[in-house]
Amino acid sequence: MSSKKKENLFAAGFLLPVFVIYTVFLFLPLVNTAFYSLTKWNGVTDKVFTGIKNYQELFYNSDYWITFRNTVKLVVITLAIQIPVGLLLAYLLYIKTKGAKLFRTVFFLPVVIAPVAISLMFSLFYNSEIGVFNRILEMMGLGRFQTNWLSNTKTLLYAVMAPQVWQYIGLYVTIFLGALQSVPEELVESAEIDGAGKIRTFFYVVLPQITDFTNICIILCVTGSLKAFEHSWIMTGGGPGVRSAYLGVYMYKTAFVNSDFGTGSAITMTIVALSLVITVLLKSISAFRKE
Amino acid sequence: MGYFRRSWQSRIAVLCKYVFLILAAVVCLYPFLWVVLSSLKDNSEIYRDPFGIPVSPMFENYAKAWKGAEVGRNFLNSMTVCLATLVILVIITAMGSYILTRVKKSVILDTYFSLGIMIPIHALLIPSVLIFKNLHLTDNLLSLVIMYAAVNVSFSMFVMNGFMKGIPKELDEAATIDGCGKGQIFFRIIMPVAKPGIATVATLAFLNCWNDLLMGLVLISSPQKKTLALAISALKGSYATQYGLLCAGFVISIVPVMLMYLLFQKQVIAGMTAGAVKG
Repeated sequence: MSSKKKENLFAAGFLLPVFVIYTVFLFLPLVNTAFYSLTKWNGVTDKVFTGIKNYQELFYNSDYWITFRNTVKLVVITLAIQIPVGLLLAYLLYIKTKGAKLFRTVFFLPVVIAPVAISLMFSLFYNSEIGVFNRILEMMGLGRFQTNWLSNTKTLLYAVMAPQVWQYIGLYVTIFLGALQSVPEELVESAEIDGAGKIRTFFYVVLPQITDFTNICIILCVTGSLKAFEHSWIMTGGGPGVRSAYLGVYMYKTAFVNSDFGTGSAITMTIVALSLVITVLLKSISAFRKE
Repeated sequence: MGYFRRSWQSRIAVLCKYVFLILAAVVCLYPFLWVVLSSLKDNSEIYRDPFGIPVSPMFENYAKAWKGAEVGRNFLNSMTVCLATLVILVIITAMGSYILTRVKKSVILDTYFSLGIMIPIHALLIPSVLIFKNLHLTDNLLSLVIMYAAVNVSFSMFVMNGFMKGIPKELDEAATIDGCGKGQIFFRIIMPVAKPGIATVATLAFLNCWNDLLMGLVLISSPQKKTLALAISALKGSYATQYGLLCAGFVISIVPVMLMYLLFQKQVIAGMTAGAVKG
């Protein structure tokens, strides 16, 4: 055997395991999901091809739109809270702060804990018998705001969102801190020498330098929200009805609780499509800006 | 800056900064502290004094959770699945990445492997149930190992590629002159040098596996095969009124990741932000 041929065989052999696992268990399932979304199927009887009927039905399905709206609300709230707070904390750690590393370690800690565990923890805090939150409110003299967080329809959805928002702020602190440290120091110093105050330097010099990272954080916020599942599923099961469910929860319920795999797949495909479109859109915006 | 005398305004600004940071740190840590303290109390003490330090710490809550609620078995299940996954994942992605970065470069395959980063795990749930039914692996921990390995391929290839590209080409050339084959080069030279990459892949894969709920919900049904994440989500139902026990189960479930995080902080953070830094 020629050495060239031998090398090719060797390369193929080394690549094979990862290629097979990735293709068979990730890529083909994705293609299958796309196909299932065009069928009527309960997982047991034969699939019946129905074209885009599942999608048409979803379009007129009020539960779908409720969960869609909940997901959009989550996107908006995570964007409005996680990114500014993450950036602020990162900036505070960046400007010659003692113990910055220790603070970062602490802020990142909740990020590594299982969302299941975090959800369990928060359902204890919301619990009406122990009522940690309610007692804290009382101690702060805000007793009139006490409520049954997970049953009051006004607070329900926000109570489900809170742990998720809280848990992942550290991720953004860390990304932004890395971003800030990559900004050339001379740039900041010369702006300050030129008489721009700290705040103006931040908005006009530092922020434009880290737009790529900000973009990535926005993508992470959006795709993270589109994937949201555990917090809602553990704390309320998405209920009552689908009041506190996200698209991910609604998909799970439809497919695995109601055994409607066709519709479940269609919901999944909308999640995949949304995250792809938004990611590509945001990335091309940032690429466009660079030109 | 520190050499100049500071005005009182700037001192107040610095003070405010630290107060704010410490407040934020408390908001991050206190919830965990509360659960740890409560795990050593019984119900009546939790009601009576939810914020206090346990008067007589009830360590038996942990024994009860471990044995009675069978958290121990679920713990072992999770450990087995995670370790098996990361061993498989590290080997297959290191092999693949070695070929794609140092032996036969291929833009098509690089792109193909990177697509998975954008695929949420939800998209695989329904087909995976069917696949493992056909493979007669329903309710089998092996199915979880395979799926976890598959969903982590993209990210791992990405991290591995970064490290493999950084290894100087001269190393391979010198080894070839010394008569090493490609396989030997991989195992004897590349793997040891790529250790930091391997550590990052392994840590993040471990966290992803340990923290996953969805795949487990769909692929595992019998209680004795449940992973810890599944068991914890079930605890809420079965021990809904024994709060001390619930908290103990919670603490047991987060100890391994906490340890992992404190020991391998650099790798954890590198891994979790790797996708982000890619841009």
